[in-house]
Amino acid sequence: MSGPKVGDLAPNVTVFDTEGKAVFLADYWRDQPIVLAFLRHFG
Amino acid sequence: MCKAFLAQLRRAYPDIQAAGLDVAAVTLGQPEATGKFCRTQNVPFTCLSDPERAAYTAYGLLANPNVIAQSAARPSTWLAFTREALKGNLNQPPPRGQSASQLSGAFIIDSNGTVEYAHRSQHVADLISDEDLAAALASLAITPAVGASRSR
Repeated sequence: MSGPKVGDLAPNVTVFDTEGKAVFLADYWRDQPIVLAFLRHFG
Repeated sequence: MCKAFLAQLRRAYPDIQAAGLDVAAVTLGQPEATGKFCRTQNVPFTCLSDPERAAYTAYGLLANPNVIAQSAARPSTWLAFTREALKGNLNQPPPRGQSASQLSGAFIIDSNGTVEYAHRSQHVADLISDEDLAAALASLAITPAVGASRSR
């Protein structure tokens, strides 16, 4: 299985906010822990 | 199941906040489409766009081309779709550019960037259960925000 396991550092990948600005995932967990949810398609 | 997952997170959001956490939801959509989708779904937390699947891939959430056939063979998939249909959430084909083969996942990450919990769906109806989410939140030694209290 690829991807991080419990206890690993989470990958700090660049994604986009809804305005199209590039942001780091770490920007969202730096101030408080997060539930990082990955959704399937919009259907 | 995407909408079912969002509904689950919306429902759990007060408890998640009370436990001192926030939620960020990553989608396959383009930024503008992600914003529109999340507004339509009344999502109270941050939505992020990952159309190139860089984050999905980094977190080990690979798109499995056999996922539809494997999921269709499971009675639990049909039960889940029926349950959602009864709530008015009819499953739709994916919009252009979004793969139906992409599975979902949920991770809890602390403020040091360490993964505290990981769930990678094995089929389309394999979402984190309410009980597992509650247990994961309860197991974290995170001080609730001032004025907030744990519901468990």
